[in-house]
Amino acid sequence: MESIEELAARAAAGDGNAAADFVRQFWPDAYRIAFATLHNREAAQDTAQEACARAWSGFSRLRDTSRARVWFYRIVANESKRTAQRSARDRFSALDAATEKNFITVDVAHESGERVDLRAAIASLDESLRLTILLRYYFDLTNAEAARVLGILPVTVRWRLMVAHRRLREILLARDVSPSLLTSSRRFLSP
Amino acid sequence: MNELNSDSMRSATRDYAEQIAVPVFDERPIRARAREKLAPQRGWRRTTVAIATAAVIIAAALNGPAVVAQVEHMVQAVLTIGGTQVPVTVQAVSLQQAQRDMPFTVVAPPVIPGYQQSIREIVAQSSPQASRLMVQYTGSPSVAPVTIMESSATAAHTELRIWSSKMPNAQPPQPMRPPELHGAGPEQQATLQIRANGGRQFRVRLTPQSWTAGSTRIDLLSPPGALSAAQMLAIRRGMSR
Repeated sequence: MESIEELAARAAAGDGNAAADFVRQFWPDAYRIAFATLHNREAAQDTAQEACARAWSGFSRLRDTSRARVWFYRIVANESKRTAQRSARDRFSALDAATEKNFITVDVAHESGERVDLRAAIASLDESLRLTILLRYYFDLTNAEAARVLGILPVTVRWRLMVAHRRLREILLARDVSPSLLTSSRRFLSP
Repeated sequence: MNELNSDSMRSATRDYAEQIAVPVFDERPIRARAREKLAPQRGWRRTTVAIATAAVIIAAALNGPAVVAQVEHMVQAVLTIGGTQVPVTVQAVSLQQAQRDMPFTVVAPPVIPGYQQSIREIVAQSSPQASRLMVQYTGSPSVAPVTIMESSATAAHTELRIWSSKMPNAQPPQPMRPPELHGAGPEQQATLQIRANGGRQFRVRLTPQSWTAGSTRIDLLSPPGALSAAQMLAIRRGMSR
């Protein structure tokens, strides 16, 4: 099976089918990153499409195909940030965002248990923290890779992870969650 | 201080991400947007070339071959051998014709997806050994085309200046004076000068990649951003056999 790097190399060489396959393969990731930033389904879909188009038209500028995934995530993260800034300016998304947060909470409310509490707590985090933990814990990027995607320093990634852990802990304690989720581990600081 | 268990965190993040309902992938709007993004670059390139009598000049001082230019309607060249300029002819040919005409073994140039290829012979009647084959690829977003020059690896040092011109509304350009060499870089570098009559002038310094395949010397000139490292490597590999 063709690796991501090989696919990206073909796309960078001008193969339109490879570019289409690449964005198709990474479409779910693009949408999840956009949604984690915006918490609005329509805006996330539009943003993910725009990011995919930017990547598609920009493959010729991709120099290191071994970093194609990080390169692509960075395009999506930047596009999401632009949309968020535009939305803030236009003041139209505040209600939508609130609705989406409720939507997520309602979605998970019929389930029970600690995982649901934690998942809902993640949804209620600030977008920069939410995106950072998504990149680290869902996409399994290293701190350095996550930093490259977000355009920040690796030490800032570590700081955000620490803050995210602390906020989640506070949220869960406020909800009187089981102490089994809490531990004295600080492993999240590992690279 | 107690902190969250990392495994719980990872698991919960996965739950959070996977409960996001991802819409079905639709290629059409993405393809359409990608096309729109590429269009302005092409439009800018056409405008740049056609705004006025645009002259694109390469004045290069390479050890052996030298290179390049934007070629549409007219290509002119000057070959200097031992300080003396000798007349050359430039003509478009097929690969088969070039393989018959050139005094060295012509290495078949690769097809680059998305680019149009044109082949020209630059022949000095008085000194056939100094003849060159110029393969140009147009279609990249950059101003100047990607160019591959082939020449004899054993030919004596010569200096080649090539320039070309294009008039608006497809009018044939007037013959121009050859470019001066004051903009040429040191050996193994080429300087691309782009001038528009009455307009701005800018200069791009190019570092050619040169190698030999048998008795043929090959120079690849790629304007910045036109080719990726992987593409250049593929060309080099394809033309080294």
